[in-house]
Amino acid sequence: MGRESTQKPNYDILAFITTNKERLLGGKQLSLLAKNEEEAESLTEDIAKALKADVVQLKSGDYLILRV
Amino acid sequence: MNGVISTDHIVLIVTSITVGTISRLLTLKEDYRQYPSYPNGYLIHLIAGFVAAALGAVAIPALMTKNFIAVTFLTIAIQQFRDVRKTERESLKDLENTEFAYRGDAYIDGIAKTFEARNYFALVVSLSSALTIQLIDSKSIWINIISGAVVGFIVLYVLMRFSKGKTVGDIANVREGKLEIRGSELYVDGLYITNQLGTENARNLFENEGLAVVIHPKEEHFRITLDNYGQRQAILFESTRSIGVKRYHFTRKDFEQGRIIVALVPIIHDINKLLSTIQNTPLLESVKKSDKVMNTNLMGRD
Repeated sequence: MGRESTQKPNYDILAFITTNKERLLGGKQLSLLAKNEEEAESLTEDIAKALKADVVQLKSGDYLILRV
Repeated sequence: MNGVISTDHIVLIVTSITVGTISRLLTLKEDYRQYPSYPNGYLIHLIAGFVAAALGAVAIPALMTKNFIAVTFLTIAIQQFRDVRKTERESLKDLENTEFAYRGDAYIDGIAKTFEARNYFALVVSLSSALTIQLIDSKSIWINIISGAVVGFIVLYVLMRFSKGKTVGDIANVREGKLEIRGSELYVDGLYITNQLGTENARNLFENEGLAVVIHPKEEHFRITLDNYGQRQAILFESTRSIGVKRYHFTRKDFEQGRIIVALVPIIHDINKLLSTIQNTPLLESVKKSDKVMNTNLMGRD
């Protein structure tokens, strides 16, 4: 990590949305299991808009909603 | 004397205070950074400049009347100016959470130091003006006043030249960068910036409205300055201040070629304004270093 690691930003993971229930593990974030890709995308957009947060789509297709 | 101040001293003090206060007024410019651009800021700094000029003006009459102890009030002046710096720093830190991007501690420190230094301008200019009037000591009041004012403004010019800093444009080439979105990742000129574009909205926003700038240092050693986190934060702050931010703002550094990338979705889509803002961003004093000084061998080495 560079120098900026000491300058915060604190990333806060607010929600995790997946279609694979095996990846639903514990944690303080809201974890949701979507039926399919479309539902995962729609859930992600709704939650991100409501929480004014950013979205990262993982290579696995899961979504992380986080705030800096 | 009988405790009454002489006309000569009144002329000396009034002229020096006026020249000193004007010098503070001239350095209180509203530049592209638009700071301070508010009436209360002007008043506060003008009054502080007046006090500084007054302290410089009365030092010479105090010495001439053998009141040597009175000169120690210059130490109070220094304390006073340090308070100016402290106040500026606190004030800017209080505003940090209300800006589009953080100024950052390094930039705030630089601005606060500049405000302190400009009070010293007023003090030194008024002191040199007073000294000139005392040395000339002409029978004509007007010769005294004009010579004091001329020397005062020459000193001001020299001080302004001395304290003038460089800008990013002096040490780096600044040009527009090419945005590219691959999945949820954003790249500028092939350099990874972020993967926070997880939604269609975010991707569209960056694709249609995003701007990116690539800063390329002119010399290898300028990388040290540009890579500095405080300097990059200052660049980002000035960028967001000039064209606003709708959403997202990032800076990234490229260790291979030493490029610095600034990417954002602005409110005003004006790349030329962004380029000129970045070119005019000051190089922070705390970040600057001289490559030549590093090679100087004054004391000898083993």
